[in-house]
Amino acid sequence: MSYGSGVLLEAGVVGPMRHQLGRTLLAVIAIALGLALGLSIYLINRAAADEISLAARSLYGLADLAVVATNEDFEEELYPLIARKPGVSIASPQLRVEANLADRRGTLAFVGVDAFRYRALQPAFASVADADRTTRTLFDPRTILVSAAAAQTLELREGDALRVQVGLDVIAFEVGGVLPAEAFRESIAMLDIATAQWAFGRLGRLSSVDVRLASGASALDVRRELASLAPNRIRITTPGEATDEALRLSRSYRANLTALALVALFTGGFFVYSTQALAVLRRRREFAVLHALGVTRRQQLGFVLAGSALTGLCGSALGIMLGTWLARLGVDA
Amino acid sequence: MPLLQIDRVAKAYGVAPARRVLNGVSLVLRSGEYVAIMGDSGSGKSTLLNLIAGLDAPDHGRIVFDGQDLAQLGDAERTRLRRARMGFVFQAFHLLPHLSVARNVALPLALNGVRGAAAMARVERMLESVELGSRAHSAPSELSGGEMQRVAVARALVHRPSLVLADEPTGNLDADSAREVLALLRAQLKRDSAAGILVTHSLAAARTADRIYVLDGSGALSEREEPVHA
Repeated sequence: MSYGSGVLLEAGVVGPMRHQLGRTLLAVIAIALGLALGLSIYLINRAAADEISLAARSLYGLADLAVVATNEDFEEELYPLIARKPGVSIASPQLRVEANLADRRGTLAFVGVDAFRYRALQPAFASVADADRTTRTLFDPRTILVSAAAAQTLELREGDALRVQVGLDVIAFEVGGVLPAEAFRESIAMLDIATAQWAFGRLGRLSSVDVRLASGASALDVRRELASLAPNRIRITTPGEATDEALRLSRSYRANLTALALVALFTGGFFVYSTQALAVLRRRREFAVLHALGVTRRQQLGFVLAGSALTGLCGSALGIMLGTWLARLGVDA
Repeated sequence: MPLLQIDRVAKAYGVAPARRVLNGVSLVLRSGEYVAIMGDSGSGKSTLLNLIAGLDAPDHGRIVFDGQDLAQLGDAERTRLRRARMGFVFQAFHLLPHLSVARNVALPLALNGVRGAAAMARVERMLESVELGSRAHSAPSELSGGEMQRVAVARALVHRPSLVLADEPTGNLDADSAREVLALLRAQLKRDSAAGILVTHSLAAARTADRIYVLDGSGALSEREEPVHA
């Protein structure tokens, strides 16, 4: 930068910022805080949405469609009808029950599956090193497998007991293993579907049937055929729709977070506007002198805008770093 | 052709009743001439200076600077004309506090596109001529009032303007500093053959100019018959 340009930059932009260091730092901090809050909320929001989507999607595995109960469950007689429909390659029945834990506060989702069918639709489940043992474990009526999330939350290890309240009875299960985290992101316990029906008093009932289409089958046709089996008791959904549904459930929560982010940004923006307006007012005499020395109004505006841009740039850089760190802190917590 | 021609200029402030501060003021100034304009506080001296600089516009009359009628120029054109052809010395110095002495003096050069080594050399020479070469890197706050005004004189003359406007340049100085600054201002103007207008209410200060004009209470300007610097 030439001597002359340096003099102009210092006279109109950098010098005043340095001369009023406190005000400049305050503006930078205000921008940084507003941006950091907005950014961290946005990132946490997005991480939550991604997590919800992944959790919803992971349960489907390779399934193209799912037949789900419109109410709590439907009769299992529908299962062979679904499995035999033209265009259906694999049908994997499931019973999902949210059960109260006996010795601890809270509930846990118990998912009963047909291990052989489920393996065909869930590559991660099939590819675990001891998949055969996992499958065998699922046939033991006292044993359950827990997802990594559930194991972490409930502090469970292989061999631990987990007691569940079912009506007035308490049923004890033994943890037979921990499912791979990448395949099951939800906090769940998995057990054999027959065991689940018996243990939770839901004999002959199913919550859903995941369906893999045969090669070349029309998804629309199969969907229509399946829906016609019991129009009032079942509905057909896809993994994408299930993800959307899961996201819809958290929409208001996420909307609140977004509003909070906007409030933070607006507050920061207003504060910056106020400090900049005050700074320009304070520099009125200086601008009058500069005008007398030959600085045009346009150049004065340029000085103010350049100063604001520089302040914004510093604040933004700081805000992005702070926001990313805050978001990481929030997600890891 | 005169450098500056002020022709029956009038200016009033406020409405019903407006206060007329300048009333049919006329003045002709040639290159190299140094005149003083005296008057009491509020007599319109600074207003006249602002009109000459193009910072304000007269209600009536014409101000022609170097053949250009200021009324015919836009604000940006007047600003560029002032930047290139005029220099300002203010009563309160008005040095930029965040710039060093050298950079304050360099500002008119930077605004006029004089860059690099040429600018630095000219600043150095100018500071030497006002005997502040050793204070080039000082902040204005580290200088005395007299020193600050000498820096202001250097700033007003560094880009070799045709006309220097000095508005009560000794108003904030003690008697010794005032004498020094006035002598310096006159010497520098004569060295560069620049014209100068000194606005002051001090007769002693006005006597350093070639001619003295007086603005009376009615806003009229008349020459005082008192030869000073011949």
